[in-house]
Amino acid sequence: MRTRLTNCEVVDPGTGERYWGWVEWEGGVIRGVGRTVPGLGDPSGDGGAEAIDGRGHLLAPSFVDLYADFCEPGFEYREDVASGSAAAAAGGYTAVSVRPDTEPACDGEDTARFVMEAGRKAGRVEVLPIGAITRKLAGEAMADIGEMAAAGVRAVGEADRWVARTGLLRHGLEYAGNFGLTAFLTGEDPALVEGTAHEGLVSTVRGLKASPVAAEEVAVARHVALAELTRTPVHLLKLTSAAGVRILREARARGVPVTASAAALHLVLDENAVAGYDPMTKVWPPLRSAEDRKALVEAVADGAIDAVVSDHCPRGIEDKELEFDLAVPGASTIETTFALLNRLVLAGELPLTAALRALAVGPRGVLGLPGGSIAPGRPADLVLLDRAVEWEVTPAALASRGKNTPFLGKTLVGRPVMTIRGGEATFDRLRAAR
Amino acid sequence: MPSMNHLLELEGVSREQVATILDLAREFKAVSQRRIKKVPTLRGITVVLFFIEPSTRTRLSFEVAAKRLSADTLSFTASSSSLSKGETLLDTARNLMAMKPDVVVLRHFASGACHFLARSIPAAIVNAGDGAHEHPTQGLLDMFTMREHKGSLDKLEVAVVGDIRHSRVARSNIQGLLTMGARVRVAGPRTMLPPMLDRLGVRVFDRIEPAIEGADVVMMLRIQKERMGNDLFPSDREYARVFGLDATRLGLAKPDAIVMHPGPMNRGVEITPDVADCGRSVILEQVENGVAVRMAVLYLLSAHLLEG
Repeated sequence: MRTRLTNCEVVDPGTGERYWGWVEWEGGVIRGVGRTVPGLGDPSGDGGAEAIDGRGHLLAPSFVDLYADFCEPGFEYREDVASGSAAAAAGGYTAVSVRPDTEPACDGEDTARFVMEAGRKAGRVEVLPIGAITRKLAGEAMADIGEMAAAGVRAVGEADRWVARTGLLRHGLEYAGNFGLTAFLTGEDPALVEGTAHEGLVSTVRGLKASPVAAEEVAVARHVALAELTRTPVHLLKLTSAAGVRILREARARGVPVTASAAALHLVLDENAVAGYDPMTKVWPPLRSAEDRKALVEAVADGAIDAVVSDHCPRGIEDKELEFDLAVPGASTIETTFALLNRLVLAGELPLTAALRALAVGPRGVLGLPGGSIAPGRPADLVLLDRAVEWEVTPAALASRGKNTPFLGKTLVGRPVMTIRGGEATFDRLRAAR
Repeated sequence: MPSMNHLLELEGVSREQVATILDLAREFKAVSQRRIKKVPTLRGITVVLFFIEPSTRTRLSFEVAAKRLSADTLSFTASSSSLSKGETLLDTARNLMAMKPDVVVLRHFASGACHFLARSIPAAIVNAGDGAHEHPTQGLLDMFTMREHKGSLDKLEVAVVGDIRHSRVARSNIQGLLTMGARVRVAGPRTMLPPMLDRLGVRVFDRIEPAIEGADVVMMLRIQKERMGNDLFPSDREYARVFGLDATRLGLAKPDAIVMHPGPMNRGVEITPDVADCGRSVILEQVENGVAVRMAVLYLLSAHLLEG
């Protein structure tokens, strides 16, 4: 059956094209696109296809998340693959790459297959497990990287953990390179870290245990050096600082196989967010200075940072209803990522096409996934976005089991209204509201 | 009178509010000097002393302050509490609330723990020291002591020397003193100086001598050896030699400069015994003034509950 989404503003962030028109698909593949004049409807008619009125919203390629925690197996009180998938679809995503620090860890094909299968059952997004580099993420022996690759794993990483044995990490990267995998590396050198706040004016005044930017610099420099040494593509996850961006730019200019991402929260919040000791604002790596935030946004705007990740970390009340020092870091973000970037767009800090590129095009490039463009022959993986709607972030408004967000009770602007994966709606606020 | 719901920090407390507390403390100090050291002012008020981090002198000081105002006190310490059995701070605090306290005095190892409590339970919270953040009643009693000796805090030159990075006493003094128009210098080894302090309007030195030179007040901070291992300075001996206060260095300060220390002292480390015990040392007065200042704070936070 053919479906035609009409009366929308089509944006193709890959090419920068933006026009009023319609998109038609069949069998999960885009068959045609067309331009119309706003308000006049489609002069060619829908040609017998099922028609969906896009009501003037923005139509973009669906989002892909490179880094989220779906917490299953092991931490289902926080999230499971089904609830995470529903949240991701509500956030406009059709594929999500999930962290390996589950219990048991995703360090072999059994767990990898289990997670992928749970994703298939949930049926909302493609769930792509990141395989561990070391067994049990313990940093001591190599995980079953080849078998995980055979099972369909595309990337390896150690979640938010630090592999102290740089030699083992090197070998892990070399070995992952054998199977065409990308290494997703986060990082702060823990020897420099005293706590989960940016070492700066706010930590000084508020007496917070802190981490200097140098902790990220050391980690990013190490990971760039390993990318250069091993030639295995390295994705630098969750850069937080101007210094990290500087090292990234230098590495890219030299042709080192690195890509990078920033977490959405780090693009809109800075160190001042933690001044009130609200555990909801505690994330890792820390929210850094206003200058760092600005450097991150600039890097997303000019493409030096390929992708924006949700860094979705659903956490239970018991993880967060604690003193700041004791609270578990992380925020439930996958349903607010677009709204946060939209805030930057509305503030004139980030062009709309750059925001959509970082959500839809960059991440697919990192993982080698098809799509990210609206053109005949491409997958019908799309998201319809209401850029103007104001909505309050309440626990009930979030599909995720994690209600831990610094925006709880606040009003955000912009929200996906429909997510289409393989031609089927996986999330539909548009027609549900009728 | 400026209203206060909690006393979490001196940051943001106005000059007028600080002056009110210090003026009131002067009146309460007189109570402690009477034969019968007790007034009925806070009869019927319940004060919980909730000390998650061990402290003897601060807890006793608050307890004496509350008792001299005729408030009822309950003491609750980490070792005796269910917190050592895994109960969270919030659950413990909710249980405390069943006893209907009006004021909760909290000492805690985590910065911001008092803010967390203030958001969570319906009682007036007094921060009795939270991690490396603030220790506002210490800052107030220090300012009270300085004012007694120097008349006014305005343009007073105050040197704070030691581990500024980890010191809540330093932070409360910096915030309070700047608000009151004093000039603050801090000094310590660079390992103990947090970044960007100069942005607050504090002069920062990595040697003790220039910080002390011409100062009206020299405040030495305790070196907390138990917290820092040997990462921040090599030995007590070297610390004493390079950053300790001795009679020679004190000679750089104004002739009438006073010497302060929040206690407990490491004699022979940050301060030599002869300086600690000299006529310019006001260290024991600080302890006495602590009671008066805490009486003032408890009064200001709970007196309105007695009206009507």
